[in-house]
Amino acid sequence: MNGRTRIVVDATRCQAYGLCVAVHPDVFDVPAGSPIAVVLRDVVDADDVADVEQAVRVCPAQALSLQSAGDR
Amino acid sequence: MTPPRAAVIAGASAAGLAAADGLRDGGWTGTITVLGEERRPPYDRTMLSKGLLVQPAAQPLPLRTPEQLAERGIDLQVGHAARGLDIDRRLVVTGDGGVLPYDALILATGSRPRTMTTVDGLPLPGLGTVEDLELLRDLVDAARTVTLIGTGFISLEIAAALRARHVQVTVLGADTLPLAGCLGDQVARWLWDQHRTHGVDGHLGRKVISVGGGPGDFLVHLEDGSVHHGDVALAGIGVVPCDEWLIGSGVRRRGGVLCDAAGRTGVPDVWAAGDLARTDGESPGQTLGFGHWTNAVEQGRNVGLNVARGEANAYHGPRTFWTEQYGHTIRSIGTREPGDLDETVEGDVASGEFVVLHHGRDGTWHGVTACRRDRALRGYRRLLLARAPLADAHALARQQLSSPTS
Repeated sequence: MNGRTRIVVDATRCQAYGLCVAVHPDVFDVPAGSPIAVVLRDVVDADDVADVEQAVRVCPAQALSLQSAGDR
Repeated sequence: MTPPRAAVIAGASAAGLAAADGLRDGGWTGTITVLGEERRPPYDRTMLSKGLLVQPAAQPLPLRTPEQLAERGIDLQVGHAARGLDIDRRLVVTGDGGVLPYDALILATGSRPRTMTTVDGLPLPGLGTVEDLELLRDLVDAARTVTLIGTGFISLEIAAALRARHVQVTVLGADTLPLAGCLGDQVARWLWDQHRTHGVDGHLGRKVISVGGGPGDFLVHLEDGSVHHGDVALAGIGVVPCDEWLIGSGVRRRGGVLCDAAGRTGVPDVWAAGDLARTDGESPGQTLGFGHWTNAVEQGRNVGLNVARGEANAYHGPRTFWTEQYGHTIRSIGTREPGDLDETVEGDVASGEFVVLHHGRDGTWHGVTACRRDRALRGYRRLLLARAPLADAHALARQQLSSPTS
């Protein structure tokens, strides 16, 4: 585990509530007119992981998941 | 060989499921049984009053897939409600008369809409479940006019959804300005103006005395003697805890189940999570809840972690909620205390893009409300979590204005 994580948005679930944006706007955004959240940088540093994990947990649509990006 | 330890979670709520995840994340190796009253798997309730009422047939999304539950060893039993508790023998009594032994019990049965009945005893529909949503859709399809009793968030979200369906809506309630207590006067006035602009009729500042009539012509009587007709009358007058099944159990209740910030009820190995749970507030007799989505999830998870690890860590996350009305998403973090000043520090309330701080006259900072400034909120949330002074919030606002992030 090198602390790098890939974030996946499930487009079939996301409701663009934007809770993730309020939790970590450097990583998530819901651009004007977008029906779903977008990930601004899909690999985050260990520093960001706590907030990103919170965003994953509090998503009412449960549209976010984390995958280990693996060693590279 | 001793049998595995059994964790029972009463209530397949957002908090209950988060507690189950917290148990596993905390290393719980025993069984986890989640009891849900509804016959369907738990779903995203926040959608009921937001997007779903506008749409003719869409269903809310389930909170967990069967695969996710199986992978984590969570036994979800739907249509199987907790109905009683024996704290001496450590048994939960279920709706079918069965008993379920527990080593740890997490109470997470949540809340339901407060009901209101007509003078003839006919209950007015509310909005708390998928069944309520389906009933409301059918009623609204056939209605030209809807009278909404209550001026809380759910009620106003329903009003906005009904206007999108071109139904005539009248909102009745005792508050002169809806949501002023939690959003502050300026934001509340702006939001109510959106309702007026979209054609919602309001008769506010007058209590509802009684509701007469029935389907097709309800008559709502206000304290000023006025009578309001509606094809349909809906009640959006807040929620009550689903805790009557605990009457006589020995678990302390006052507007919900009383617990400490770690979630302990005072009864050994019985914990409380989410909407049902109340902690003592700072003033005598005051209790605080975790009734909003984010807090229910985070506090529930914290209880699960505590149970698994044998710890009693307190949950102190700031209260967080959001509402969507007419395409505007308003988010609040922290609280607005009675008498607070509301200071706009970014944007302009009238423009629908703003950050407003709520603070006491003595400068104690309590919370923040924002619209179209989602990207600004992370900083304020972190400051509130750290109980930072108002000066830090002012400094953050100055910094964000000089280098806008959105």
